[in-house]
Amino acid sequence: MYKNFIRWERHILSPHRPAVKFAMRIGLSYLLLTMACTQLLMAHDSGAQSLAEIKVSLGLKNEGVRDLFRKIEKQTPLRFAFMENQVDKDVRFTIHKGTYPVVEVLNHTLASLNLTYMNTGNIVYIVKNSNNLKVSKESESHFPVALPEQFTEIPGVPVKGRVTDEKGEALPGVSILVKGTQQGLITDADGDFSIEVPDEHAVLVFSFVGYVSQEVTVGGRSQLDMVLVADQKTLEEIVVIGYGAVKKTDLTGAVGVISGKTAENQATSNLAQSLQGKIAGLSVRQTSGHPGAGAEIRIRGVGSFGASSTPLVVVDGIITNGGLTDLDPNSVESITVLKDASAAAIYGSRGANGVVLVTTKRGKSGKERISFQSYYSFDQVSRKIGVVDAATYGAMVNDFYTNQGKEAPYDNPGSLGKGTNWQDEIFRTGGKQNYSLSFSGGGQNSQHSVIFGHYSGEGVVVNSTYNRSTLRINNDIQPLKGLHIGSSIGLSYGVEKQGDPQPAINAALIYAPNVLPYNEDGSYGIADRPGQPTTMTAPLVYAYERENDRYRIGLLANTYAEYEISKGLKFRTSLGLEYINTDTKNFVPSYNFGLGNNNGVATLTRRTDGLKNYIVDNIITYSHLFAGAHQVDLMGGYTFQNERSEFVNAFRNTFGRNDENLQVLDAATANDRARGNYTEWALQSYLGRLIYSYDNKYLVTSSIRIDQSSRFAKGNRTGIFPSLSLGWVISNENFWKARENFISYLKLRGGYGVLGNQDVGIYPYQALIDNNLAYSLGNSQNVWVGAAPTSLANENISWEKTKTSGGGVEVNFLNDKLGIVAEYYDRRTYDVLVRVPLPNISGMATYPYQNVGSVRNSGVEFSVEYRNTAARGELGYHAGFNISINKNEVTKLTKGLDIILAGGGQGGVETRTSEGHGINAFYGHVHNGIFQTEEEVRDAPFQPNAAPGDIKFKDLDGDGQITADDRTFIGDFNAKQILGFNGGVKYRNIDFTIAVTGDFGRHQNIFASGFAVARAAEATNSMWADRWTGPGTSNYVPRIVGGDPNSNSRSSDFWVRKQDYLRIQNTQLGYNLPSAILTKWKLEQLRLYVAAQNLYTWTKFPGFDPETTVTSYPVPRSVFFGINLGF
Amino acid sequence: MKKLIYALLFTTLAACNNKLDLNPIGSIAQSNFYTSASDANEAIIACYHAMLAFHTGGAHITGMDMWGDIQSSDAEPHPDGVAWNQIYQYTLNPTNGELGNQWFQIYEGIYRCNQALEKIPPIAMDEPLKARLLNEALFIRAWWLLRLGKMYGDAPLVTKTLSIDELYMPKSPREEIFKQVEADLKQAAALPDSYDDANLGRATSYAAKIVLAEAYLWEKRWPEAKPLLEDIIHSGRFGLLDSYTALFDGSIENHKESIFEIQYKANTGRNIGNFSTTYNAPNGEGYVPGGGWGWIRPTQDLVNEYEKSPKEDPRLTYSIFRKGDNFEGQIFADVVNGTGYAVKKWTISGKTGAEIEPNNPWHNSANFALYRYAEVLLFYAEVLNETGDSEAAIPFINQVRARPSVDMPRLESGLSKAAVFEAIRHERRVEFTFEGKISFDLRRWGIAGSFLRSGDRWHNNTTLNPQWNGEFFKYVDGKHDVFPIPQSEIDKSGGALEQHPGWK
Repeated sequence: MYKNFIRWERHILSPHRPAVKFAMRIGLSYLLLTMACTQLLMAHDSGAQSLAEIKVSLGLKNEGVRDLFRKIEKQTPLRFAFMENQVDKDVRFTIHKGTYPVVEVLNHTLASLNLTYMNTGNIVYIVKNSNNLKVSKESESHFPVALPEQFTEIPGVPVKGRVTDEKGEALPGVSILVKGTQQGLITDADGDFSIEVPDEHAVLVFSFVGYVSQEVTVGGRSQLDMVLVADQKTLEEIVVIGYGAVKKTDLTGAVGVISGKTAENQATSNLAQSLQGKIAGLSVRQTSGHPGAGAEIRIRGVGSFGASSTPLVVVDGIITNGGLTDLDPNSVESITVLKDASAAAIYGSRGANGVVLVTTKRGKSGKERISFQSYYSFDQVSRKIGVVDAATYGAMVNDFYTNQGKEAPYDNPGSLGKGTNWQDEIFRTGGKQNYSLSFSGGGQNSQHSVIFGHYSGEGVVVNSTYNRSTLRINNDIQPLKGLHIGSSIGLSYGVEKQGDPQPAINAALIYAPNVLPYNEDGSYGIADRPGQPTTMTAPLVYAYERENDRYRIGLLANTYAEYEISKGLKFRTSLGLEYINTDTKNFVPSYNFGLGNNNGVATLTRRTDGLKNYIVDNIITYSHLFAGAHQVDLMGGYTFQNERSEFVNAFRNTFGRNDENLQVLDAATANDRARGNYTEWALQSYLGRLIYSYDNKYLVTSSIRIDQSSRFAKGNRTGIFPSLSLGWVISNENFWKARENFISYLKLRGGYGVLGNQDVGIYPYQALIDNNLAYSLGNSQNVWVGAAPTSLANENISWEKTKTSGGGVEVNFLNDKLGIVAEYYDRRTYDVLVRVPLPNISGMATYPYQNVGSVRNSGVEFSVEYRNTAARGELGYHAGFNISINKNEVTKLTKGLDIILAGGGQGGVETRTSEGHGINAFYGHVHNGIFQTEEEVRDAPFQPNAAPGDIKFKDLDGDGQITADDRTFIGDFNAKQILGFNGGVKYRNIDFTIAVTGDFGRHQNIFASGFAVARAAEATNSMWADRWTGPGTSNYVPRIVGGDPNSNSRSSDFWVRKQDYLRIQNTQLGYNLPSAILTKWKLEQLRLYVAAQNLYTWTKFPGFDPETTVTSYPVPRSVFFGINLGF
Repeated sequence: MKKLIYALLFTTLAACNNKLDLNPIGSIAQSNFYTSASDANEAIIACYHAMLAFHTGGAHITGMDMWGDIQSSDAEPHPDGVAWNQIYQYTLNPTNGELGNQWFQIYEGIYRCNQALEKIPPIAMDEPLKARLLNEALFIRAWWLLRLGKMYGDAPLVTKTLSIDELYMPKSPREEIFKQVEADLKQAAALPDSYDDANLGRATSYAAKIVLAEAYLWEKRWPEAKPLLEDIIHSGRFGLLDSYTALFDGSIENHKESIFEIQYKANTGRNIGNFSTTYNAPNGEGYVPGGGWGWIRPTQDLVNEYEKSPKEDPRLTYSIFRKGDNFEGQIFADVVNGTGYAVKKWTISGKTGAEIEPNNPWHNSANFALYRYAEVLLFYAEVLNETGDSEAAIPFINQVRARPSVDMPRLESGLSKAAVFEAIRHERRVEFTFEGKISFDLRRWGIAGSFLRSGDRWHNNTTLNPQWNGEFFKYVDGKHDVFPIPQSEIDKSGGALEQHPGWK
């Protein structure tokens, strides 16, 4: 079968409407399938008029066959469909005027083109005549057609045969191609074919969707019968779910799966990035471009506005803290994302934000496989933030002062010229290198997989690097019949060495452009003039003079034993241990570069953080097929997790010198300060699950988890989290199977589940005493310890609960080439745990958690994937698209009071969590233009202290003055639509993939360095070049004025901007060396590729990156060159 | 089936409930605290700790003292400080961030005291010590409440620790707040008159008396203030220091002039140092490591206030840098956009003996006197003048002027009541420059609007910005006499708190 898109054209010409011509792309397989059905149906098709009965009045003079079809379509209900490359445009016909039956017209004209037709209802398919049907001389004699001259018949060797499946049943519609030619045909309703091949060396390629393609050399045979083997891969896929695995077809919950191949082929430095745009409902944001940065993952929106919204990350069964950061993307076999409650309920109180399950690669019995993978990348800041030049800056500073009634610092700002763009000074071309070497294989009773990885990154900010080495060893042995034991050990060591990159970026965005980066003597240029940020540390001092090193050791180890007690009954026990040690060193040398850049004595802070996390799982499973149709899988278990984290912090200062070898505590002489603490929590749980399926048609999954957490007071400690989900595989029903179906797989599913969230700190219910409230007394100034609670306590808090109901439909078409999944969900979170900002008359700086309200996230997810091959399997292509539309709404706040995060919440703009709105929506005044004149100020609703050039705010309540009552909701903080597109083409040895992601509906405040005129000399953003400087100059950007009498900086939509974006996230062009060369070189695989990450972004957001806050460490554009080698 | 049961039993064997009873580590739960005399003392120390915020101390650099200076014509904030500039010029609105900080600091201080007042009584301990500690708490609470009343007028009066549900509280009138101040301080007057060396710095009976006197002055209850001030004057414990600068440079502390000092200490790693040098020292010049921030800058108007003839008031030079002034070898050049003046009073280099931190954030150990004997004298002069004894008031003003290092010409007798009032107003302005008093004085006297809008003010004369038509200060009588309730507090109160009428 042809496995590519071939252009089919249809002309629809209705007598009642103007002629419409359109071209449609459909897969040939669609047509052939339909035809296969047609041949069966034609006999019964008594309702439709036969072509012999339909007559047309025609007259053609040297016209093409398309004109003929068009004329027939005009007069009859018939519609033609044909392959463009098969219908020769140049052949001309002449038909004398007259009325003829359609069947005769077609017989005569098509035969001359070696075409024939088939019809179903009113659609006439024009196909190649492989059976060389000859038109009878008789009909030819009285039909007035002039035969085209170009027509010639191909002579050759005739071959015929039959194609069947493994059971011996005929396979109609199988595509047969003569390799290396355009010649081909399909099998008929009985699976028979007959073809002429050029010679006996000809190779026939048999292909059919859902079956493994085969090639056969004719070799002098005239009879060639083929058996095609079904390709089990697609439907029998096993998916890892919590505490077990299940056939993909048996899934009843919302689950997304990504194979390790996808991650491996992405050339990303971080596993989380590989997930971006791949699964509907999964939002992955890279919030920093730091070479060692992770990513923020959210599943189906933000479910909580108090507790954490981060999904649980489980690696080989261990619930981790390190998440995805310690993993080499090359070591991953598969990733499963449990999106809804029915899927995640087995994680109970941990699963409310969804679960990401990572399975690492394990060895397989057989030949030892060795592979090596490496890439090198060049990274650059994809977009710098626009800043003003020194001349504009000088004018702005003058505005700042003169508008406040002060003297202008610069006499002639124009003479300041272009000046320094500090971003050019602190950014550079960075790069990444990655090396991964793996060995895997094993014998009958023992398998292993060993992977070494080394990653090294140079950040785009000068003096920032990150290196990480990883080692993973997975072992499985089967020492006795029925006994499996094994272990996974993952080790990672990361070293981060840098100055103070984020402060350097912030400073670069506000440091005065009329300061030179370096003075003539090579020393740092420092702001020391009026109108410059003289109290501020210079960007280059942050970048080069500070030293912040971080050494991180991560260990993730898991060992298990599984014993099959009797057939189907298994007991598995496992112990997982995670240990993360982070060692940091912050050294500030003594220096004196001038104002604000002076550090009297060198200081050293050393801090060690340790985290120990262990999990014991005892799981018993029973699996049995009763009466040949009732498949029952039972699971029950107990798990216990304990986590302890601690830190020791030591400080000393007064070093004699800045010598690198003396940067140890012992080398300092004064001011010892030591701190340290640890925290601990524990969780124990009982689990149970039933998966039942009847005849692969009716599916039931039900689970329960009972959690007891140390984080809550004794009476509120236990949470029960049940779930139930149902599925119906309609395509496995007999009535469905009884007929050939366009839809090859159809499943409906739905479920309900309850989940909890305990991620609210370790001891949230207890009122703690802060004993660091010291005071000195006496003439010798002795320090006395003072103690008091600094946070209110609330003993009544308990689990935050999430109830999710939802359903989905999974449909596969064209023998599973085209798959569509559509889902709806309604996720309601109750008793949301949040630190509600309370009236400050409490006197407490830290607000307690309260169970305050409910949030609803509802939405739809839609994903479609098409995968096919063509050109005898040499061309493969796939395209996938997914979109999630989420609505985030606070449905209830217990006290009816908004949760207000003033300023600090999201920067300078207030956010509110309020009934009927999304979580943390921006709240403030509405910009209504700029006051141009004094009259305008007078005539407008009263706005105290406003002057021309200030922002005019909307008087929303119409009371004639601008007050607090004129504030409203001015932007959502959470994305409404997330979409992803993935496409790929593979031709012979070359492949190309592209991934596009986009986010819509999210807002971010730009009250940030360089944008906000919080301080005199710190607004350097280019938007201020367009500020108001006199009537008519701007109706959007206000004037710059010291003291900001109108409070232009107040919370308003001027400071809130859309973060919508569409981004080419990933593209890759690869070349796999042909097998002939590989064999010669004794290689299994050699792949070379060039890839780009973050290639281009469409957005109007004025920050570095629409995925992050305005000034976050920019996510670079990276161009990769890579090699994958297999032995 | 048997096997299944065994397996299930084994599965749950590890279950063990006491693994879940994990108590906080490194922090004491409230339920285990407040059991001993030492706990009681720590509770009181925490009350004092909150007061550090007043003078740009500790972790809080909110500058409560400077709040009292910049809402007048004495000092202008650094141009960078948007919120401060709005406060300075009276263009602030209820969303002003500094406003919210002040509010929180006050209620945090009150809370610490309420907590101590509730938790200490049940502790079994030495009763006289317990009584003293409770009186210290009452003193500190009253001082915060007085501040609350002075700043905001009507505000929630919190006299106990509040549960979450009790936080939605309406305002009480200022009179109620002052009534509470009076009640607390009358009790706190039972505090000791003095302490041993180790406890020096704790509140004394005299501290309670001067705060109560100030409260009476605010309410114009002159006769009630009078005996309190006389108690202090006649105690024989207090007097003026000869040196004016020694009051501020950290060279001598808890001396005969201090009635109550906030105690700062550098180099402890506990954020209990005095940050005011960095805060106030000239911006752009190297008086402290990294340069001062010059967060407030003396104005020409303040400089004009100092007497110039027959001799220049030495307090001008002691308090203010003028261009060309030499400070320990460094010449003040007004490098960065100043007014031509900078604050000298709090610029402490460490050379006079005060301990300083060599690093960020440049804390020092100099104490800050909230109330000193000079104020007792001027309060007393004011009481005498207001109760019709203007003549008797003059010697007390002269005592302040006669400080050896100041030695300004004495006022002559026979001045009218109005002239004496004017003399007190002047003396307070120059004596307590940058000590956070002037703008509250102007309000207490009811002259803030007329004083600030007066053509005598340098700001209004220079009409720097033609838009202002000589009306630099936007003080509106009736409105700006108190500060608005912070908008965020109104928003969070669920309707319980209402904005002041003038600020709606």
